[in-house]
Amino acid sequence: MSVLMGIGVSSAAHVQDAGQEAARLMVAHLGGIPHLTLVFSSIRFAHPKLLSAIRSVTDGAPLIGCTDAGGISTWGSMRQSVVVIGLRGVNAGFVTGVAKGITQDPEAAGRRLAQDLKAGEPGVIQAALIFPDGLALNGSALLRGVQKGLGAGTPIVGGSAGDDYYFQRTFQYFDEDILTDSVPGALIHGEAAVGIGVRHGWVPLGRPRQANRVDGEVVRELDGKPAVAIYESYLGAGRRTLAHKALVQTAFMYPLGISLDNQSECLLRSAFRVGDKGSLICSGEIPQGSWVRLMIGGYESALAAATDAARQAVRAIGRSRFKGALVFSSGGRQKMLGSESQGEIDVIRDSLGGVGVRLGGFYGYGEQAPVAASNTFHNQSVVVMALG
Amino acid sequence: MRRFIKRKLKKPGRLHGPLKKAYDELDKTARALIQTDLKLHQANERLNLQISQGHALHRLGTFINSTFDIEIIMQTVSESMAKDLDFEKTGIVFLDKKGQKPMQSCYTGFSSAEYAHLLEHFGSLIGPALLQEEEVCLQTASYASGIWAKLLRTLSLASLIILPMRFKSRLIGFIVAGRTHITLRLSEAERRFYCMYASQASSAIENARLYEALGQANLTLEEKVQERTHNLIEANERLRDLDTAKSNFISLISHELRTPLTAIKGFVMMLFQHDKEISGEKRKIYLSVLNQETDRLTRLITELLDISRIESGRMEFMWESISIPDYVRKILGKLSLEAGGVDLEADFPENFPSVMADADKLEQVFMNLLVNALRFSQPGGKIKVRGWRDRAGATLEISDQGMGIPFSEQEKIFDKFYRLDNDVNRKNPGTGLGLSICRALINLHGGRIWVESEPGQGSRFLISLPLNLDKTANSSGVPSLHPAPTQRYAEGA
Repeated sequence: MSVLMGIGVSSAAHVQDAGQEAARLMVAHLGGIPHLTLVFSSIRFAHPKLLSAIRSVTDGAPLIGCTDAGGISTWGSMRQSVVVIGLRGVNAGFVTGVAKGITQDPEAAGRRLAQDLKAGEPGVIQAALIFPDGLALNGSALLRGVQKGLGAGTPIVGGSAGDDYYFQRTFQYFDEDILTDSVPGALIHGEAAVGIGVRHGWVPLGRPRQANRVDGEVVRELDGKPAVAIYESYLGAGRRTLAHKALVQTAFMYPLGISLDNQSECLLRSAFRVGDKGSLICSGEIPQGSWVRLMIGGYESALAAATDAARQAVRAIGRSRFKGALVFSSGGRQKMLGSESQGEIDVIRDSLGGVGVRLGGFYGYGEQAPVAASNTFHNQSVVVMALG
Repeated sequence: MRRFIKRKLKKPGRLHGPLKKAYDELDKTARALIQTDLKLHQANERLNLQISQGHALHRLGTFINSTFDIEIIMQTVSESMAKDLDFEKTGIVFLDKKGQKPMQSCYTGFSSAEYAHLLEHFGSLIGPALLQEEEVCLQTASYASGIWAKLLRTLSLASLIILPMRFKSRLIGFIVAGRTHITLRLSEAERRFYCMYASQASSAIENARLYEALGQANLTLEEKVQERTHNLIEANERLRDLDTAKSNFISLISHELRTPLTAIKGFVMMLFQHDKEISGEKRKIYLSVLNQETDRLTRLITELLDISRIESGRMEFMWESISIPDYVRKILGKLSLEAGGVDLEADFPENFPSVMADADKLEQVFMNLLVNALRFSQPGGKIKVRGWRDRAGATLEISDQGMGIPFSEQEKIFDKFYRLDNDVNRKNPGTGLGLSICRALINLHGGRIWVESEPGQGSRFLISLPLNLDKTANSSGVPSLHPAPTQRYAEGA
């Protein structure tokens, strides 16, 4: 019949206390023990004690999640905290699975995850949730693998793990294990209603360049020149500076935008590192020969995009069925909005029904959501998944 | 129009002339915009960081300055480093006054084993680092080498910062904070912030310490005053007791002195007033009584003087090595004339040791005991003096076959003026000071005197003397012994 949601948050000093506090609040909010627990926390809490504390409260319910660059809940956007989301199905259920070792072969890892999920023998699959390591590139290949494993009809939604903008190491949670370079996931099956909206609100700035030479997620040349030149030119930074610090630290708010046919918005790709010969290693694939422009975000357009995404999601299931929403936003958005990132959560909440709407999620290094029924990897976007 | 531009845009290089120029100019503007935007965001980030740091400092300051409890302050700092500043493992350590040894401590996130391990490295690693660096010491697993690297590995840390806590340039402690997964890089601004943080903690802690010290000093003062008052009360009581005892003693002596004096006066008056009427015989008796009573008075006064000298420590001793058996035999010889049918026997082994003693004082003691024994012996009875060597030194026993002494009286007889009430004593006038003088003298020899007896079974007076005295003499020539405490004045009389 539906999926119910409860959320709890905590930022206690001791990891165990934080886990217990957030889990207890979630159980109280949900009104019972969840069937699936989602945990998103800042790096400080990435410790087995967190997960065991949470599971002691949830009676060992299956748990997936990851570290983030910030948490999202009904009560707003927060840093340095733990968000625990409990999902409970009525005539609906969840199966979980995990795959390790993404970096070596992302697509194969995706397929392994799909296999692991299907081994749980779900009923009618409504959607999949995945939380891959945000520093394990390439996000689009992984997504492709999961899709191949689950079949094209299953919407895949999620966020990539973050690490408070250090870009050193992210962690993923699966039951009581702390993993890295992995992707935990879940399938929602049964009589659950799922509505998805994804937007970014970034606008292109600067002239288009063609991606002449591309190897999956590595853009070697733009307009015949080493790809990094685009950042050197627009950010006014020397190659040395960009290569020394992780490029993404400077360029996170200025992704590359790829024009898509028949879409109002471009597809965004974050450039993570400078590779050899000035190539750009991006978080996801860029089609060979596509036209690429530097993108810039702004407060108004970002909030408008968030409103749009929320409306799209709730429209898909109908307001009467709506019970709660998962929100996977980008760290780039939080960085760009700065002290005003609360505004994005406010407009999402308002679009979904106002004060008291149940929502939970996190800011990560990438997002997954279908665009025109095709599962896509995004950056700098906000994904709203309405559940009912 | 839109389709036209789209088509045109899809084929760059085909633009020329004014359109291309405009396009290039737009691109230039775009560049300027992005760079400005970036600078703005970076400035904003720095500002937000400073604001949140300010908040963290303020929160810390407000809390820890609202309490004087050092434990709470330490806990707050440790937890706040974790909660507000995002460190997985934190600790705060106090050093002793010299700044050399960790004393009190509080930590979060470390296991107790890890923390103990960290403190072990204080002397070799952390202490020196604190002395060298003015501000913040940062060690990261990626760049550290040698002992630091090993320490970081053992603590499972990617980064470790150590903040000295100083109060008026004196090192009072330090804060440690570590990150498990993240390799930190501190900017100038961040270093300054951590310094301010540590200095907040320092002043709060130093304040609390001063407050505690003040409280302690107050308590100590209280205790001292109470102690002094108690001592004064005790001294007062003792003085009162002494006063009472003195009054008792004086009344006792007056009585003892008056008794013979009254007799003397009586007989003198009689002889004086009725001289012509008294017969020669009667006169002889009266004069004999006068003699006796005068002797009695003399004896009393001598004994009183003895007691007085002993108790005021003015008794002088001439120490020499004495052969007790010889002395005993000599005294028994003297007494045999007055023994009146009582058998006097001395029994000493060949190897009876010599004792360091004052000959005259010992003679006084023996005489006293033997005269007593004689008094209580019947003709045909026996008085035996024997001695032996034992662990305590030399022990002497003077035994008689007299009426014996009840158990309840066996200590009391050594009290001043105490005389057992029996026929013998009633017949023989005495001061009751003899045995108390004996005890005092034997005690000053470092020995012990006591009696074992049962009514009807005779008595055995025992004297135990040490063989060697402590050779260090005090100014009056008395070797320093540790005599048993001298008798207190008998209570009541």
